[in-house]
Amino acid sequence: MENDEKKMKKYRIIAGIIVIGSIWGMLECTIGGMNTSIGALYLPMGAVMAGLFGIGFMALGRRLFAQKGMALGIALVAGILRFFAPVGSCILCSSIAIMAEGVIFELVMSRPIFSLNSLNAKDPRTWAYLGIITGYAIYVSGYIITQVLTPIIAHDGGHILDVVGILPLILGRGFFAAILGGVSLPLVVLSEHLSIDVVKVRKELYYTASTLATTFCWAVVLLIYFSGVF
Amino acid sequence: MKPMNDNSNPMEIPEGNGALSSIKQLIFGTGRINFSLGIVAVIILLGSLSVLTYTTLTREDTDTVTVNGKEYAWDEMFEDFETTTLNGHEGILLSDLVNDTALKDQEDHDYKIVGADGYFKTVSWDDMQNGLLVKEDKMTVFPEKTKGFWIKDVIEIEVV
Repeated sequence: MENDEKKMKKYRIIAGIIVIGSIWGMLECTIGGMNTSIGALYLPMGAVMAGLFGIGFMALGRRLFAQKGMALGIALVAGILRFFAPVGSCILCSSIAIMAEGVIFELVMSRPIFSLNSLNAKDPRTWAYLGIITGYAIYVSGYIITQVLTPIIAHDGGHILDVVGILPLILGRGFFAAILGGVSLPLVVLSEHLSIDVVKVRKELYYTASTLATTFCWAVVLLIYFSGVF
Repeated sequence: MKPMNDNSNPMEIPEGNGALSSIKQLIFGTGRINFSLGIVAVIILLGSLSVLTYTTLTREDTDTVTVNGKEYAWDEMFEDFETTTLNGHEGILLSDLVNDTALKDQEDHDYKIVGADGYFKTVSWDDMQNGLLVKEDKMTVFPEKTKGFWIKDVIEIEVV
């Protein structure tokens, strides 16, 4: 009986990883490829995506399923969708960056002190500060990792050490990821409306909804790709 | 040495008096964890904002592109050089631009392509022979390389 419950939870977690990762991946493939500026200030969409949606979706997965490795799984699915739907800028770079963001988020948030049951768990300031730190860490690390790994994986003759020269650019753009991370993390962790016990949702409803949402996300991306909108 | 009869919570910041203490309480609350996280967060925000301000203010003008020390105006460049089409992209071959600067032993050098925001990529002579400088977005196009090499608002091609 206990085994059945464990098995059921495992399948629900897998479905959860796929659906949340697909939504994040779809957003990366659509609005993530846009160029935005506020006056003379260039708004790097990579930082916006990492701080707002990256942190948001990974924190949501962690909150709903309370499962270690959940964030990494979500990032892997998002990265795969980004890779197989070549829309917008450097596909491989974005894909690697998203997966790296998952690894860094997992490393930071798996610390026991950041458990939802830890001290100050209800204090929005704790989550805002943590969101700033995590948002910055995942964007900067993801950017650096992708600059190092892309030339190796793509065999396109890139110089790995170029990343050192563009560090000021990466560190500066991380500001947006930090600010947005400081907003999205407390919102997702503390919002009452996101309090759903996924194990108690009816099986038929749960799997139908997640299949529909996943199919929708992949269909949107493929439709955009084949219609050549971007 | 902590007194033996001190029953205070080690995770809490001791309360003080005055306005400064009230502000501190407002920003960090009473938890030591908040204080540590808050300090790190403030350092990150101030540090990254300073770098962002610096990189934005030092962003260079994109009316010209300097190739091996020789300056070309974007407006005139496409009249002076023959354009080539590679994989549907029309532009000036990067190798033609370098050849125009009378550089010798081109294959012995690498080429650093710099964008107005400071982003750059270093490429080989082989890449320069298969790369274009296109009018749209004033960018480089390397059809056989990842888009990380497609640098917008190119301001300089430096020989290294």
